[in-house]
Amino acid sequence: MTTATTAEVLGIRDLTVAFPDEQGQVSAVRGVSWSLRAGEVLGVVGESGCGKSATALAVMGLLPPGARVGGSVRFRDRELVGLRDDEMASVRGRSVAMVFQDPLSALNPVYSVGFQVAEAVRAHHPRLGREQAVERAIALLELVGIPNARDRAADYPHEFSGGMRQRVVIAIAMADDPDVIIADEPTTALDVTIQAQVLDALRTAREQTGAATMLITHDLGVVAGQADRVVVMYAGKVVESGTVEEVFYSPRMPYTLGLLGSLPRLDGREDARLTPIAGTPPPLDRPITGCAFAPRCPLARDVCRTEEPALVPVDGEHLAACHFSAELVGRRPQDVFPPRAAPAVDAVAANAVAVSAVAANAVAVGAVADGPVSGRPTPIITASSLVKHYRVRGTGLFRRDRGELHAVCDVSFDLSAGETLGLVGESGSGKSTIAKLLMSLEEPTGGGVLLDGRPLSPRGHARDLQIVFQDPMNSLDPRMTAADLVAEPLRINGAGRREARARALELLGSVGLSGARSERYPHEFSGGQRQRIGIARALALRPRVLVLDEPVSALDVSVQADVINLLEDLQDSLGLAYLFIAHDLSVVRHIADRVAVLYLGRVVETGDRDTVFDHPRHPYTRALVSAVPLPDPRKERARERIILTGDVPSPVNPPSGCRFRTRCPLHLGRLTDEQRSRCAGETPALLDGVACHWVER
Amino acid sequence: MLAYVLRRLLHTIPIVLVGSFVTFVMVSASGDPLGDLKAKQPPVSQAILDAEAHRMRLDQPLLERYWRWLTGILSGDWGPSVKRIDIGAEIWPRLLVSARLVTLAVLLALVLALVIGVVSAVKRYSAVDYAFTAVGFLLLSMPAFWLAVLLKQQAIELNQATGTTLVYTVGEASIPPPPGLWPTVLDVLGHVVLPTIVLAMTSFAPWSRFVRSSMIEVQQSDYVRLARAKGIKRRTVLVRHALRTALVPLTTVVALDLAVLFSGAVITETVFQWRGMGSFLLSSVRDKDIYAVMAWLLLVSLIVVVFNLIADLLYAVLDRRIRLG
Amino acid sequence: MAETVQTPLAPDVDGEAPVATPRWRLVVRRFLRHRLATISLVVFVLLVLLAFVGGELWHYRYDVYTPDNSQPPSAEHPFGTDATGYDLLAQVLRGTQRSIEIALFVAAVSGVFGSVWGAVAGFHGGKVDTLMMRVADLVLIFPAIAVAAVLANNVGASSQGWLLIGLVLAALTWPYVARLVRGVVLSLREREFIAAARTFGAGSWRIIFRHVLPNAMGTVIVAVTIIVAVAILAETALSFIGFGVRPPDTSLGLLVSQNQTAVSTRPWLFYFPGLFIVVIALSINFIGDGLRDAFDNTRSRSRR
Repeated sequence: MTTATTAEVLGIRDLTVAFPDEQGQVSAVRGVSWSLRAGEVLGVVGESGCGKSATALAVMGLLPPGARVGGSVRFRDRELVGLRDDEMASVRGRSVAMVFQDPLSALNPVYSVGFQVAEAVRAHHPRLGREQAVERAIALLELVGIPNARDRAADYPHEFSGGMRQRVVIAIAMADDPDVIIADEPTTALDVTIQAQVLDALRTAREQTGAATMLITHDLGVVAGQADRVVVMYAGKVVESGTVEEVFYSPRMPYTLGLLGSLPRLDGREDARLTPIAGTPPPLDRPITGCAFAPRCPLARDVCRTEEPALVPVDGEHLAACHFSAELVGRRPQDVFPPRAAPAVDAVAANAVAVSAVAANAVAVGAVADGPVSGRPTPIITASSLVKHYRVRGTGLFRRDRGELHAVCDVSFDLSAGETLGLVGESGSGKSTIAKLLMSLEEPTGGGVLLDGRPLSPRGHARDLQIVFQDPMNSLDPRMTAADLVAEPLRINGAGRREARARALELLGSVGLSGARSERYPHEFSGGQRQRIGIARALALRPRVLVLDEPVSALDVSVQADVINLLEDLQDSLGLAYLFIAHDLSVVRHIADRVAVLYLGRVVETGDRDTVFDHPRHPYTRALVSAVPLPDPRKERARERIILTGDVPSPVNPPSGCRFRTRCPLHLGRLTDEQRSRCAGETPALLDGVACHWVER
Repeated sequence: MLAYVLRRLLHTIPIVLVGSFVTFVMVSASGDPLGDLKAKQPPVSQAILDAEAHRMRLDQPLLERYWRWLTGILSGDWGPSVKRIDIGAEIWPRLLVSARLVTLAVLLALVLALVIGVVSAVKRYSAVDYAFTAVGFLLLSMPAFWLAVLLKQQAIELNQATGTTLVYTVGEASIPPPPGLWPTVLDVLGHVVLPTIVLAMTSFAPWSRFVRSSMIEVQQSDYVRLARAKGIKRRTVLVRHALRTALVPLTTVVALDLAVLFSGAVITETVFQWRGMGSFLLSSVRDKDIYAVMAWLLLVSLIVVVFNLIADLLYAVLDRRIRLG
Repeated sequence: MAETVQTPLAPDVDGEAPVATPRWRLVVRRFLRHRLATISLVVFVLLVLLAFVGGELWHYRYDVYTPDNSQPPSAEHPFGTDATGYDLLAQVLRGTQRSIEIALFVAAVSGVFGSVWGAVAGFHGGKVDTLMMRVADLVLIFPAIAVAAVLANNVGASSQGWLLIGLVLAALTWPYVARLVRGVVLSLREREFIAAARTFGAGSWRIIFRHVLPNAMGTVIVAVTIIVAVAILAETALSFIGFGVRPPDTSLGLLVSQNQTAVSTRPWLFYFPGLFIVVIALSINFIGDGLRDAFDNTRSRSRR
């Protein structure tokens, strides 16, 4: 935390931003005011489309041409709105610097990293010599933690990992000692252990420059750990602001409360059901009367729909925009947001037996649900020693194979009815490859999958195993209506047109999409609704196992909770087995019964959910769990964090022996040389749920 | 890098071989080289026909003819001509004449494409942009031969009105050339102006559209936004970050269009009555002069292949992401 | 824009939903918003009607002499006559008919062949793809006009010559379609809805016909439109240098060629056929641009 004074460096008053669009205009920001004080970190949170990025770009004067900006942005005593672009150029970088979301696309691919940092150094010091600028660039790269900065400065962006590139971007932001750094979702595109590193680099930048920071993010955990004060945005307006403690512990706007309630937490609130916020944010291409949140708000009354609440103090500097903010004192999310019953899930369960089975040999779902409860039930799916290697072609004259990419290495697990196995790991861990192997979209290099004790046949699995993909926009054919999409698997497997259609409508109803909406196309639905269509489609053939490949990671928090609840309800009533693949540990903790942690294609730790998350034993699991930010400022700040060094090694020719040893705090720390040679020479077996030579058993 | 060049060359050889064989079969089947001779009145004797057929290698099977042609090329023998000309001696000077036209036209078209593409991208949806778009579409829809005749006529009228010859409308140079180096250069330039304009005008439009759309795309990219966030002036960002990156793919687009430009050159040269590759091709096709046509196709397609290779290499040098793989 | 704006939706879960808009109607609506494209479509349809119906109704025939020689445009001969007494309007209409026939034939043949070639290459990928695209690239390294001249040298004079010329031009233009379609199919292949279809047991043919082709249709239609314009220009150029349509038949390129020497003395002979070529090609190019905008979801704003 930084020492905040009350001197304002950046003041935003009644800022509006509107974009022209096909019909008219979209009001992305509808009158936003806040001030950023010297040296503080101000967290700006909100879901996609709430106007937080547009606000940042408006401050920088970097909105696309055509965007209309109103109101005022003052940097110290200088008004920034209305400045000519060349005047604005003198502000950018020197007074206000910015870090963007996607480090993969933020650096120009045709220039070296050193050049791009040096360019920032020279932007406001044209008289500085080229060599001096490069020297300063190297110093900056060292500061943000790029190893061998001097050598690596000549490398091109594609030769750096995502985390390293984001550090370069931070170095660029630091280059001219700015007074304000705007970080727009700086860690969203990164893995959680890398996120911790980048947040560290950001802290370094703050300490070095003394800049006030505007941290824009949708991740409440990051805000809880990093920010001094918070601004919550909704539909282009600020709906609440205050210190982190005020906003997190006593929110006075229902939206904030709902957001907190819809968040699954790693610190486990013992299976408490999430409290999603119904509906979606309002469209911004037409005027909004009254409170923008009213249609989704359980407390809304007539006055909310006619009169827009002003952002007024509720307690000192704690501001909220709600007519009934006084009613929220001391209330928990579940008190305000009634848990919504999943629409017609029970009907599906009932129908599962009653409706004539489409697939002739489909096992009646109800029967499975009533299967053995005591002890370890017989698994439906058994994966044993799965191995998947991809060939990598070299670039030499004859392009001989350069090696093999070890995507999945000796992974075994089983899965029983009504159970959820969470598969967690960062990018490159092989979790999505496992999904493909299970769905027969890829051939395993070794090992195999048994279904009810028999090997999977490539076509026969369709009725028992189905998959829900990460991005519903990508996994639904844009040219088919919702009803056709859900009916397709039935049609392929021999159902008649009418029969398939009737069942499709019923399935859509069971995921909460009833009536005329079944004739709409995917682009006419919101993200959460699209994912519901994907789930309905996966259920069409009455499978017993659902592979869920990051099913909620493309969704906003409030919507995500809704989909998670739906999945839980479906599992309860249909007795489905879930293989839940995710990078988000909090979600897995919420939904899974058992967990397997993957690193570079190998399982490093597996076991009962609470055991793994509460008492992680493998050094990697420990680091992973400690890196996940908690949406609880006091807990988050009190935590001890294990920050891993370096990046995940390439899965092409991975490290010998234990694959984690190159980043392992244990290996790099207290082990003796003799012990280390064992790590390098011998692959640790998965014994008692942990694959480490040195864990206390 | 060297491995990449070698591999690309290795890949190119089978293409050239297959391509040349297919063309050889196609050209051989396109007509009887002795057709005109056989149709002569009074008829020529069978002995003469046989001798001529032997000279044109028509008494050999197709595969053998191809093999002889291929091995002949490697030793500098372009094969016999119906018109009894030395194909090699005839084609090289003509290639130089046409290369002059194509090179200048490519340069002019590139300049036009860059200026117009960048200006329309920067001033998107402005009147200037719409005007350039309209002109581009008009030129895209304009037959080269029609524009050539039109400009030729305008030039003739201009010359008549001024009483001098500002630009020449016939031939690629005066015969005999004016004395002295400087007058010769001026003479050649005077001849090359109109055809270059025609060829460039009818070629640049797709390129300027390409520059425009890739400039627009690049301008919306994160790295251009970051460059501006550094506080660099818009113009500098435009040139250093946007244009430079947008230009890289243009190299391959231009190289791929080289064959199209040679097509345009054939038409343009015909209108301006140049003694270049155009008239050589057309007369050879009319005379069914197989080996002359083959020489033409081989030379031009080799030029296209070589420039495509160069463009690919250039791309790899300019954009390091291309893993030369 | 930095953030995607949510699709407008009635937040009320069970409320009335707006009627669905099928994609084709969206495409038509977007196309009609492109004013020049809409005008061009009207112009092109009128031209086709004029050439195919008007040519039959006009009281002069393209291959019958009139008593008037070298007449400038008048009420009797709106486009004038040439030195031998042919009525230029009749000739231009006949030429337009021929040129459009050839161009549409070329577009149909190279559109179908190129799409299938590109779709198969893109869908299979790997070695099949490499080999098939090498073949396509091979066609592109030769200047089309030269190959067309060689191929058409024998066939142009025959009675069905125009069809053969069409075939020659189709043989030279299909790689453009193939390359475009392959690019789209390659990216479609990676989309998860293809993988999803596989997981519930759909076969390759079903995937190609139900998912790949419908989604590649926009690209095919745009590519085919552009080929029409390219073919018009190629055919007229070929006829201009004497290897395309031959007398007694006529085409717009042949008319320009025959009359290029008359440009100073009887300019109407040169300008009318040329203007027809430009107007046809221009209208098709604008239609293509409109279609591209209409099918392209990413372009939100484009008003001309």
